[in-house]
Amino acid sequence: MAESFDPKILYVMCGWCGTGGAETASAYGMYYPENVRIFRVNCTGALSTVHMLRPLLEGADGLVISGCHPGDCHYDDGNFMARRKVALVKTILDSLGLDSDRLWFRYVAHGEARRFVDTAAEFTDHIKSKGPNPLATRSDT
Amino acid sequence: MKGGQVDARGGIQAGITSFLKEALSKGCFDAVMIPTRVPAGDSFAWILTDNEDLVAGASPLPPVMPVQGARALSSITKKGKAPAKIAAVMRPCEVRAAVELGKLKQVDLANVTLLSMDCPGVLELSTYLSDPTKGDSEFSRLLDKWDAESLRPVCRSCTHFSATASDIHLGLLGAQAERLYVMPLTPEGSRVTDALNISADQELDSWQAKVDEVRQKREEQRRKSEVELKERVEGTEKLLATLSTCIGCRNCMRVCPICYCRQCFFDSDALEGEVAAHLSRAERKGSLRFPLDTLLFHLGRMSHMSLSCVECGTCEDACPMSIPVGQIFSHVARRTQELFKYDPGKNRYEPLPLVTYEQDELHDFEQPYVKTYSGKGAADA
Amino acid sequence: MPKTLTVNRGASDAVRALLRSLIEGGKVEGVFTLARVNNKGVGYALIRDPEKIEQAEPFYPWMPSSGGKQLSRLVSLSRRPRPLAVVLRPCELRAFVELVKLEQCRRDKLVLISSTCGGVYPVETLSDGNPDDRVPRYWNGLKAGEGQPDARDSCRACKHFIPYNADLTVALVGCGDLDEKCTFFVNSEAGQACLEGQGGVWGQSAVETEATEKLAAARDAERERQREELHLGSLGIEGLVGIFGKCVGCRSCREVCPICYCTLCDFDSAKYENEPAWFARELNSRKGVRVPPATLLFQMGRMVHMSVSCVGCGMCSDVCPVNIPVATLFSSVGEANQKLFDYVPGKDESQKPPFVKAELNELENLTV
Repeated sequence: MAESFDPKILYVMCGWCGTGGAETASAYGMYYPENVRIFRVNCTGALSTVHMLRPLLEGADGLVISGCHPGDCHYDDGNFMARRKVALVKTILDSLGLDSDRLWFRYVAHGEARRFVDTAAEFTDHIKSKGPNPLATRSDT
Repeated sequence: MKGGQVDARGGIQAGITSFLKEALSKGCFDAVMIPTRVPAGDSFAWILTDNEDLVAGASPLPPVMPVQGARALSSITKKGKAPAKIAAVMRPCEVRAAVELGKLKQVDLANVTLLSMDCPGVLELSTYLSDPTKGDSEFSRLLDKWDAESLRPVCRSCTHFSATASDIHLGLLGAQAERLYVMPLTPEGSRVTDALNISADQELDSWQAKVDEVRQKREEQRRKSEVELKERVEGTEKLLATLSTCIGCRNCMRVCPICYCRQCFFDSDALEGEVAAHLSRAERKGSLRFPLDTLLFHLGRMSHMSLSCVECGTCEDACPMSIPVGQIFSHVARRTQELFKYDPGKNRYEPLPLVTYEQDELHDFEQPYVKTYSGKGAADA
Repeated sequence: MPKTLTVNRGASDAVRALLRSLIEGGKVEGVFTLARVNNKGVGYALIRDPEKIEQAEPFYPWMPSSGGKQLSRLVSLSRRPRPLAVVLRPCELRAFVELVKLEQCRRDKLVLISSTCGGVYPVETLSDGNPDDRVPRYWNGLKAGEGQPDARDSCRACKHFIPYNADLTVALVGCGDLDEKCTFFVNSEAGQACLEGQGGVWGQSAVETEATEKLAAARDAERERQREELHLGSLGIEGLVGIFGKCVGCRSCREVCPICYCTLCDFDSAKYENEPAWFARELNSRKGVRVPPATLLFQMGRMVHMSVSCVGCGMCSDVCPVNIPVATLFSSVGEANQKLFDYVPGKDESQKPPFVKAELNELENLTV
């Protein structure tokens, strides 16, 4: 893919852990790609499946979701519910031959600044290698 | 499977209605919810009745499924348990949908006796309506032969056509001429057979053998049609070509037994926006299709209901544009249900996959973390 | 008599060229018209890219959804108006005007383009075979000023096929030279402003011609025939049950109806969900009760809600999965109601809908 491709990436983060990871990263002055837009939710378990699908159909080139590590959820089990929903959405996309690899789910804890910037950078490179999301510019969706 | 037998001298339908009539007169239940022919004679509708003559004239196994039985049952018991003991006479997929709606708190099964029967499948609604007489005779042929060519595509490859989570199951397959098998599947079912003095201790080997035979054929058909369907719809291009004729009438959602929401998310204000937002979407795409969000609606609906999808095919029957919605949804549903090892409508007490979880599961969907990323965009690169 | 501009281009091409020049000239920000979807289907589209105007099929003889309804969702009341050019059929335009009057949307800054309409084919025929095969036959019919025998029932019975309230009207019915020439009738200043700078021959004439009058007469006769066929005058309760007996309650008639704008229909709301005890009471008073109940209540209730504004677009019949002639029935009831209030939906923009404003002295023969 051409270097000029600047992917639009939506990074959905849990307000307790994932966002904390990003804050820690900023405290250390660590770098993450500018094209990653962070979207904070109170808990990844509260993210509905439609809100995972919509960016993937309507403009984003990729979507990452980061919640707390298993056992760390502020609401006990939100991240486990989120994992089920991610699995559901990915299975639906897969079974219809749509690209499910534009959706990532990775745990990031409050102190894991390194893990956050790594995920942002790794996912950006991953999406760059895939190229633009074809659904974003189709007029028949 | 153990069960007993009852008389069906006037044919299968009459056998079922006379069984119901007797149960009603002996007080096994107070009313029956059953399909019956509409006055004009061109279709069928559900009635709730305690009148023995109306039960005798009903059509427990109609050749089409205009309204999914679980929807009908939900209209009675949505706000609480039935006012009196009701027997709901339904096809296996309708029973399964009713069980799912029970878990979704849209049906109260507390005062309901679910009664199912072996189902050969149904004809396409539009084909039937174009010539009801021909449809009736074709269906009685189907009841006899159990072949599949004239059935709806989802019925042709349905493997849940027999005993299910009902209280009593009526076996049509493998029965002697002018007889029906009666299988009580729950204590509630046994209560009814006991009251009717049906001894349900016979081993029904010939029924089981026949059911297995039909199931095997259906599974084969399923594998075949799955390949054909993938050929037709898999991948962005083919999927969008298939959905290109969708007019957004929401019929598939409205007739779906599982889609119970009074107000669908996709019809709510949630997806509305400023003209400017539409214009910028149109800018990005060059041209923006109306009705909006066709693909999002279908994929979103899948994420909402596919885990409970019983593959009844009512959606496909109702689609004015002949899009194979039922086949697409059932194809996806098989996969999502497989993911959580969930069989909708099988067990009344098994929780829905999205209200529960296990700590140790689905690790394939977690993106593994390589200790420190050192690719192009990495922090220190 | 309105001013006219005649250009040397086929009608569809002329409209596409006009739309393109409007976008390119910055007169509008987008164009709302029927367009190809994925080369297979057809649907409404908001087009911004001039290159994509090629996909526009302003007069494609199918109506996959009511354009008036779709447009109203785009330009709904709470939103700031933006300049858009819109191509709608006469019935869709009437529906849109009704929705404006019912305060669901606004027409500010819109350029409304419409045409005399030859009707459309049933929507389900879009999915049998290649719909394009029917198109040449349709245009030949238009040139001859005749309707298609296999057009939808509602279209064959429609007498409002000359648009009201359009800024520009394109003449199609009875125009023999449709393939080479296209005439725009200018009905407003906005329409005039659109045509500024367009090449062509200016003139002056009326939209109504001998051909349109002939078609109107044929359609009047067809409408009477359809209503007689259904015995609408003497239906009674038996007749209604006969017609609506097979209704599956999918509510698609309401979903596609341009006038039914409610986000949550009254008949879907909680007040029509019955307590279990209601069924017990019903069983005491009659032998059996149909479930889900209230099929006729929904149909007749909807008639009460929308029939004074019914434009007879026929979408309801088109999508009915059990082929109930909903539109014939509703438009007939609608016409009777409209006559009562001397109201033609979508015609006069300043006349308030009958249930928005009541007169002091009217309907006196109804009081006993």
